Amino acid sequence: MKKQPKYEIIKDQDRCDTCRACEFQCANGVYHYDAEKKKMIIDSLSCVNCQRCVEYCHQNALKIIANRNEYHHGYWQMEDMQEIYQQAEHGGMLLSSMGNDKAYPKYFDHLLINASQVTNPSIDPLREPMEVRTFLGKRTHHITRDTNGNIQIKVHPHLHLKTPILFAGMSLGAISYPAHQALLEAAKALGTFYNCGEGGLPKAFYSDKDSIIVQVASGRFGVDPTYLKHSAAIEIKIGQGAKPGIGGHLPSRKNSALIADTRMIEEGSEAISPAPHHDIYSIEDLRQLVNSLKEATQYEKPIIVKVAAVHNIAAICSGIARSGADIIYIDGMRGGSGAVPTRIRDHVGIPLELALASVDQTLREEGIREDVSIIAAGGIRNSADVLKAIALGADAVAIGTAALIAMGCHMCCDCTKGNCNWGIATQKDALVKRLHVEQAKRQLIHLIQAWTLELKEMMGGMGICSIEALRGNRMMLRGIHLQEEELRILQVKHAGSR
Amino acid sequence: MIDAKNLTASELNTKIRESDADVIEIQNILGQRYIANASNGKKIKLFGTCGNNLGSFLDGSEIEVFGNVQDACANTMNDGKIILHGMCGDALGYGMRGGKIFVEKDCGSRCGIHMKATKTKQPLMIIGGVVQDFFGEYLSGGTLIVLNLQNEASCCGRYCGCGAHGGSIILRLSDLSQACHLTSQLKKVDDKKKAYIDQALNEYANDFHITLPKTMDFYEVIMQNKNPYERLYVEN
Repeated sequence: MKKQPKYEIIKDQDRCDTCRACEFQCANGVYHYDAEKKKMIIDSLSCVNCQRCVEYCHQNALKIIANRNEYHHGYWQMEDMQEIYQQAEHGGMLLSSMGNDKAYPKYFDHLLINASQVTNPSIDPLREPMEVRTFLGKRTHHITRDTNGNIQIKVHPHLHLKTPILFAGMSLGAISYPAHQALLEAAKALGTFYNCGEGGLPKAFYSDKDSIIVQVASGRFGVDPTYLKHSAAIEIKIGQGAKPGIGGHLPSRKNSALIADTRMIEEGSEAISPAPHHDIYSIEDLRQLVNSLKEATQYEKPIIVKVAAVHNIAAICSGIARSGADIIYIDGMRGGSGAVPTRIRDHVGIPLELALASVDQTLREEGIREDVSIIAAGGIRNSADVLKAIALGADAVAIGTAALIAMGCHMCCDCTKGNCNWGIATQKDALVKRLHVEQAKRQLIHLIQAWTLELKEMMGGMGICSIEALRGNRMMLRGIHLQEEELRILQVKHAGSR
Repeated sequence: MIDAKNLTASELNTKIRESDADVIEIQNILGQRYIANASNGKKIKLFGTCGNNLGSFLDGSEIEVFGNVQDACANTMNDGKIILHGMCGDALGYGMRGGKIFVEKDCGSRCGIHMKATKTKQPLMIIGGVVQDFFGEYLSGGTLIVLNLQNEASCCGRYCGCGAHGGSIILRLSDLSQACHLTSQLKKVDDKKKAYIDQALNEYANDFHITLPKTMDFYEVIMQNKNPYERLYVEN
């Protein structure tokens, strides 16, 4: 069963001056120079379409296209057959990277945003103040007074963001050290938060604890009191949008000295995070871990619970809100991962938009919405998605894939091999050096600044001057090309409805 | 001496943090959770029944309990020592990375799971009685020892060491039938490991003021695979 190349590299012979840049840039061994024939030899089979060679070809001599061997069948696609060939040969579960790329509905693209006309005039954000500062955490909703009648202010531990966009948790191991540095530096500059993921926190980052969210996952990698202390918030990772119900696994071959030190494990050992936390089999158990972390940090930090968007997400989040957690992080099915079983990535979970609307509505109905903030993540592509997510009930969003793209990721979705030519999803020294921290940081800052400007622009158009007024404000959305049931779940009227 | 009667876990922990006694004695513990969470540099003696998550994230303190302890004791323990003069519930030492846990009697399920070692830390857990199911699940470093000093018919429950890919699980068996629920292969410990066990048991016996049998047969559970997940996948 001969494996077919996924991509075909087309080289313009007239333009190619055999400078060999493509060969030097490609870690997948696609190119080599035949000195006898004085020409570049191409092995398309190894190409993952990362576009590195295309961008570094100063003669613009290269083009990568999808390999479209002529094959037509009404039901069986070439991709289906290739996967069967691969499994028939190796007998293993298929492993992919990044997020679900199947043609499920993108509900964000079926939601349209309102704008003011005549009444409730729109606001020009360039001239008038627009408030996008966001506070994440439990809100006080009972006013208490002392015996003199003075209001007693009790502020629960919270996160203060200058813009309602955070960086999603990605572990050292999934992405490189410079990528982590760039994310942290950008978060500091933007007044938002970097999340170290479940792979521990490099000690060099400890001094920036006010911009850091640390994760506690089932493997407890890198978790000790010092780690917990050097954070602004602690995130209990129960699930991940890309792989609900599935744990994580960093293979021993990727477990370098740096990663082992950061994860606090032995170099070269397997790093396995089982699907469940084996001390959490119920909401009561979750409450126990929440309280245990609060006790360990003397109730100074908000606790986030991250879950994947699954069928009964509303009931799950209702339980989380009652567990004492301060923030719920909902990760939708388009969320990314460095390595994920293909079938899980493509078939498990539900879209973020439906999950988010359902959770927000349920928590409101149960009178506990103010007990928690909601972070929405998993497929946020632009500022319109940010705005729609907030209108559907999120307090803020987190971005992972978009942040990687801002740093230079070209979405070849081949992270699992660890050969990322852009120095992002790799631990190989020669490749890691390719990611320039300052440049990546600058690009991340630009992206969030641009999105924040656009967010203000759209809010202004709606006549809304504060992000608080947008939260859960579904009147600002209208659905298009959606069925009645979808509109009901989203709690959104159809376009044209009064 | 601290009287824990009617104190909440937080109040109790505040008193522990504020105490500068050489040995902090706490009486009348009745199920308070999270006692001595993330504690370091303290020596604490607890009298009564400790609730869940005793010594979670423990970072160097020494805790001695005269009574039984409920679930998730020493959750994500980083350093220190816990001596339990009694029995213990489920998930003892979940994700433990350093320090020692000595238990006089039996333990519940999923004890010693996800225990791991680092370049500088090798955690140790010794159970005087027997353990239930999933003992040492996902073990990747450190040493777990079950003594079965009462010579129960079975020293460990089912699925002992499942998913384990490092570290050592040592069972003291006076009769091989005591490993009746174990599906993994066993081997007699070698001299190097025996020396380590002897040293550890010496400390254990001193802490509990007991004399251990002069001859004990120790067997090590053979790990099925150092890379249990590697061969499950094929890159797509």
